[in-house]
Amino acid sequence: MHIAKDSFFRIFQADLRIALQRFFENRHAKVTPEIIGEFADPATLERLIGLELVEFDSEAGEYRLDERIERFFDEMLGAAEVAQADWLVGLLEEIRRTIEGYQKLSDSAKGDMLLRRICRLLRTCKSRIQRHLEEVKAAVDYDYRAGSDYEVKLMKLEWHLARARSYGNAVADLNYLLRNDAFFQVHQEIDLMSLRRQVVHRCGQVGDALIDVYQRIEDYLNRVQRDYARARKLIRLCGLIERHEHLTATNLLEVAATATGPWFHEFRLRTLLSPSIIDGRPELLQRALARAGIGEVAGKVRRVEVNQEPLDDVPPFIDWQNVYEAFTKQQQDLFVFLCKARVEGRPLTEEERIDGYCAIIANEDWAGAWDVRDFDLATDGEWEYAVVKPPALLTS
Amino acid sequence: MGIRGRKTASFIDIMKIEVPPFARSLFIRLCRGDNLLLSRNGSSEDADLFARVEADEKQCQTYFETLGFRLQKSDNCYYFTADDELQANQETKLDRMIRLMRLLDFLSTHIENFGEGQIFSASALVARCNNDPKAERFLQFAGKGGATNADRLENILQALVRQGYLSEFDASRQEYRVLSAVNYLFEFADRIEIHGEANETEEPNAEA
Repeated sequence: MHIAKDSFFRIFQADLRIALQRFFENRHAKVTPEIIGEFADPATLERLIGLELVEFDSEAGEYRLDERIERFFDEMLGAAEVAQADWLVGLLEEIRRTIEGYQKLSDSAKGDMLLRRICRLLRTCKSRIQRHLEEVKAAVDYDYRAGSDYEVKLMKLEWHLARARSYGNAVADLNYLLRNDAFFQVHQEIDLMSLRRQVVHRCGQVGDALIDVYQRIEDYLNRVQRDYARARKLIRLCGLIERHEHLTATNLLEVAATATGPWFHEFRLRTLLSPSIIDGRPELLQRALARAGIGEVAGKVRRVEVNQEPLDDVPPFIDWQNVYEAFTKQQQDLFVFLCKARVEGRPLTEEERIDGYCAIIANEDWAGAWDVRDFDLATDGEWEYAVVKPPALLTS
Repeated sequence: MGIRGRKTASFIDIMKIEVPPFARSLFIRLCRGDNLLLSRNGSSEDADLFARVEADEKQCQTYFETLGFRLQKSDNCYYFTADDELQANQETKLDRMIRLMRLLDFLSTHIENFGEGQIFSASALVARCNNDPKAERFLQFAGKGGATNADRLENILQALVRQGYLSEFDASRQEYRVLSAVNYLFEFADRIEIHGEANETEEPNAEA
């Protein structure tokens, strides 16, 4: 028990440990200023008060652990204390003594009293034995999960293993006593018989459950030892890596060579190409990637011209409706009219003229005036075109 | 003819192989999923799938073996390996192994009980790393692109989440949970031997 407590207090600075442990062990006693010198020297005491680990109650005239710290200690160390099985050993001794006393008695009245006492002790065993098992399990789990100091954990788990074993031995002794002692063979009172049967049954259950507890503790111990060893190894290994000694001082290269799985997966392009081409012909892969726009070229920064185009270069938007209206108010045919027409102060280009001619001829709204007539043909340079007169002239 | 160069499976063998009912979902999860590891303590869908695979593990392995995939089981996690998977070259593998060891060292040092099922807070981790030169150096090395330690750490943790080694436990409090897949990484650390280490650890006993 002392080993476990000492190891727990290692989480505090060396000069505070002993004083804190003394305060905790004497938490139920009154620590007055007269005896405080036995707990800590004045400088340490001042530090403990400054760190709010210990407080001085001026009204009561006593030093005590800070409430939160005391609760923390209770939680951390209480789990260990609860796992002691001394109570069962004590009860077992008392049952044995009572049986012995009963057998030496000649007074039947006193004998009945001792018999009732044995029943009472067995009832206590029955009710407490299962509860204690649950407490052992909880304490084991708690000590495995709490804290980060591997050495403390190892010590606590080893201590739990020893305690669980001593508890198992005590339960086995009780079981043996109930099954084989002559007293329980001779006495067949209904109460005693029933109780004996129930406690024997409970002992069997606890025995089975304790095997699971041993296995769990062993499992935890193995895990803690493995994690501890791994953490130490990683620290050493990283030191070797920093000094570039990892290739000569470890088998890292061999492990890396045979390593497989997701951490070592290489990116593979999802494609219809055969894997043998992807793996064996990297130049073909690069070409395929480049063609898809995701090759190495795609990663390069490209310069893009973002200067605004000069306004003069922007082609004007020509409203052919206006052109058509102007066309209807004069007498020349459409092709000739378009040669002379001006947009934004300039004549139409040849391309615009052809576009305009086709747009006006093909417009369904305006085509009704000339679609039934045969058009004369004329030529202008390399263009041969139908002579389209304005609608007003056609109707007149 | 074998498939993808695997050992030839006889006609009778193929006929005898039963397709596990969850084969499709397992294949999609491990080959096209968000990540390539299936953890026992992953999301509820992952945990459910894990239990089903574990119950029919042998049948699954046989079925996927015929297709050229090996269903590998680490401690509480599954992943696929394939014969035709693209192997990184030796140098890249060594580089990745070194990165892995540094990462595990960093996490084991700064997260209490770092291991499967552990929940930790990124903010607490950042607080531990600040003003620790070794940790800061690691963050600069591994957490590319971040301006501060917190950003770098966030990059690292998010990358591990994407790869399936961690899951976000409580995003609002920046808490993460370590998934069983991390055991796959630990296996590599366990396989590494430091020459002469055994002699050093035996010294105290020898003296005693």
